[in-house]
Amino acid sequence: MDILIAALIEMAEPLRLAMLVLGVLLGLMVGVIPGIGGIFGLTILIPITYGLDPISAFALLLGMASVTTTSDTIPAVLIGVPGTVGAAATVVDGHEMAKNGQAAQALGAAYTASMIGGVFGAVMLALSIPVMRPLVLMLNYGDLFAITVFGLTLVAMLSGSNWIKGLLAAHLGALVAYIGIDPYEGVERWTFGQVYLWDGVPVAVVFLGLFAIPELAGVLTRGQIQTTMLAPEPGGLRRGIREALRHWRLVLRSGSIGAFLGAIPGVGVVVIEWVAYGDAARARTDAAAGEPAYGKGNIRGVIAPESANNAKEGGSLLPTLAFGIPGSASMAILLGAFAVHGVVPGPKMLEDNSTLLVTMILTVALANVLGALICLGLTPWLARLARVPATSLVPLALVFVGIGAFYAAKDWRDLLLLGMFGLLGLAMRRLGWSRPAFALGFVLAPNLERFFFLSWQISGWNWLTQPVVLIFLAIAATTVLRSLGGWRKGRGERTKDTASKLDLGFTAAVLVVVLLAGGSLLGMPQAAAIFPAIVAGSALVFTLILIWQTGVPSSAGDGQGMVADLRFILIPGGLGVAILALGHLVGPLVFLLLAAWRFGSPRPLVALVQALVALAVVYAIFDLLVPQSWPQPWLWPI
Amino acid sequence: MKPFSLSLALVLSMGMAAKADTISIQVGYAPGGSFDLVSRLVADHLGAFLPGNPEVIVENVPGAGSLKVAKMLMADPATDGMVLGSVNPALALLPFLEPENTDFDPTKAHYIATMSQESSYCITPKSTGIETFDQFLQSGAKVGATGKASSTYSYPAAIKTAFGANIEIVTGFEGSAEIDLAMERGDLQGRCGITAANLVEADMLTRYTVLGEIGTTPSAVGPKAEFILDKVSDPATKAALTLIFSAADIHHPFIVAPATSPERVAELRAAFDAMVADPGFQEDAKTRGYLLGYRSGAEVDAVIAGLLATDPAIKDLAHQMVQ
Repeated sequence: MDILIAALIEMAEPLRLAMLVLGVLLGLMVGVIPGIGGIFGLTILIPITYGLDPISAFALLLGMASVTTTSDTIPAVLIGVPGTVGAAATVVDGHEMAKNGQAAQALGAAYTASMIGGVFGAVMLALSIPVMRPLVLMLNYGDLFAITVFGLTLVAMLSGSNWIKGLLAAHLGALVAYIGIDPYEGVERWTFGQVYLWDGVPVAVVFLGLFAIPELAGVLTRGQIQTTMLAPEPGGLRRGIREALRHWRLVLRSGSIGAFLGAIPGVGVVVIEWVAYGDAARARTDAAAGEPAYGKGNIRGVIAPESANNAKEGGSLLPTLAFGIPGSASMAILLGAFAVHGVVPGPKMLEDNSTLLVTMILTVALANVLGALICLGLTPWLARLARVPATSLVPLALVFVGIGAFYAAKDWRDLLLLGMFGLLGLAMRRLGWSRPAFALGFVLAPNLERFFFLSWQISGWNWLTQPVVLIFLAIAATTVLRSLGGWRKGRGERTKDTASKLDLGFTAAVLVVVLLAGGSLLGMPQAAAIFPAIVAGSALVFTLILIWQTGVPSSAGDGQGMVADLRFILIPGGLGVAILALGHLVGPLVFLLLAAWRFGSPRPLVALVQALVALAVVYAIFDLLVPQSWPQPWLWPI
Repeated sequence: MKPFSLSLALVLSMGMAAKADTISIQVGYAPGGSFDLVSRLVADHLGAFLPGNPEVIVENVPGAGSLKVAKMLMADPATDGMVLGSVNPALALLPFLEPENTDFDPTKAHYIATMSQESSYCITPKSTGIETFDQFLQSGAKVGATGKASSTYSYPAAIKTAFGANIEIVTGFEGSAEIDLAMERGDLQGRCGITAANLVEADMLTRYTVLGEIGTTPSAVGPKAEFILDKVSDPATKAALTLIFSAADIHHPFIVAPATSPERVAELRAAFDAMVADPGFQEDAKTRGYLLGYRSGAEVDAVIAGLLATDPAIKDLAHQMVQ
């Protein structure tokens, strides 16, 4: 108790409180803007931390790192654009709720879950400290492999109405994830000779393309965020808070997943949020009466990932504190701050620096509370966005999506891939292919391969007899069998899918991709080819089953819808060309003015003001706050 | 069209203002590592020693162990040297360690300076009971590495071949944090390629035995350990191992594009020399926990010329040793 009071007194110093508030505000800002994440914030903060005492430095760094996953919910729910890669799972149900006029409720539930999850992560951290070293070392790569296998079985829960399409979507995600240098042999896989692809396809670009572009297309089609003209339901915010509290078991369960997986270096926030989302869906295979299905605006689909991704920060402090081993970039910087101030991490911190340790835990908890409260305060204003005309909202949102994607590598290929994944996302949405299943395959497949090869190199096949491995593989097998049982049972009840020529066309395109991918593996070293080959082989089988199941198409399909999708993709395509040709400032300006002219709304003067404000924001963030060397626009010489 | 033209002019001028006189240091790695640390240290001081006192910014462009930045610079036609790369020193060895890889040519890129000439070390957890380098060589130890292109692989691979050592290299770790945790867990018994700066972090020295020093000359500042090159008797093997270890001689290099004008290269080199001589810079480096081991551009050129002039047979041997 004395330590807690001493820590509170230390924290109460004005400079430290100011640093905490500054960190939180910056973290919230970084979370809201698509494409940039915690790393962006860290590059702003690093120079400041050198001159600060340890507690102030931690207040700033941890304050920022703790809340990016709170505010990234705002664009995820309102416009279907994940603010950071950690909010893609929140889009699935959160944005559906916004469409139904429940934006405030979704945001209220999300912030509450984030706050409780974040504080829970801090409490878990505090409880773990006396046993942190054995805890961090508890799981080896065999265990992690089995947990990843279990995570992949959650695809079954995210597959939507047609489980074969769901499984295939996960396979496609896995194949995309295997692009790059393989972890064992170090050979190039499907990189087309491009160094750009050596480290794989940028995660932020994939998620922005897959989720943001199709959802913005939907907003534009509807004319506004909501599907109906109804006013947002009154008291939605309070209802959201109550819902999160009512599902406290889920909040803590997802928080545990976040804190636990967060403590393992190499398991990032993208894995955590999707596993938490799938786990929530698994826990409710028989959806409660009156509860929307997952993917159709189920509030549990918002609560679970939001609780997990905020609890992660507490967990990720564990390896840093236990061994001085940084679990993430922010922890590496924190470790640098430790060294500068002569703090030695490890169990001895409990004796030597106990006050400092407690202030760190308090910082994580306080930042989460403060971040959620600020967001809650802003919600009534933000929820009004749901009624803003789409012709104003969508071009503006696209500018930030485009700049966010371009920021990844400042390479024209960022924008090309954004368009390609946008097109894929549009087609998947229209033809009923589960994008969450794709996401799960995409984030888990690389770990499956890496953990397998590490386990095999370290202990041959012995790891297969480890208790944790056996338990998780058994749970995974049970999940698969239960799903198979459910599908068989439901087969008789379901009406046969009315497949169209479009469905068949898309499946045929998938078949071609799978065949090309599989064929190109011939001649590659065996170890580099084995996992992609298994995925490609399995995908081939499922594609053929799907084609057989589809049979002769009964209709042409929603050709008009597809044409509308193709026309929509021209809009971000035009933005991409504008950015490349005219630069990251003039390009979006021209794009916004042309969009206003094309849509006939808003009025010219309003459009100009909006465009200039948007540009001022882009300029302030990407040129003043964190100056970048943007590539020279194509038309610069002219 | 009037509002349109006005805003265009405004934004263009904003763009111009942002472009003027800003030097960018592009780091080939993510924030938080030693390359990021040294680049930010340089960025905070370099501008004061260049004509016009330009602003110097840092951008992280991680990818392919910094080859991404290096390749981008190789193709950059600009002659003004406004973009500096902070890249892996082992790229200088690319022509003979990976002859098929032509993405980077150390003879064409201009090296401005290196901030460090730091040795690396082989370590083992104390719990393994391995106390000497000779014991380590016969221990059957598993040593962790990230990818086959990284020094965490090339150093132990070269040691394994040079000494006929009974060690195994486990590849596929995502970073040094994972390797260290696997050592703590007992899955691995060693790591080769950790720097002195990392070793003195936290309480590592109390938990690990430092087995050997990887470098071409013994370090004056690092922990005491057996100097690995001294243990090799065969002249050819020693020469090949020296070649592989020589990346340590230019540990944190800064490069500019091949197209950069000779005048600009000279200007940048002079600015680095003046910056490192400045007590304010030295004090700041100390505060940030950075171990300075400066070598000027001319010295780096000499090191690289020496490497590339090595007998082709030795280069081939070095190539084979890291496979």
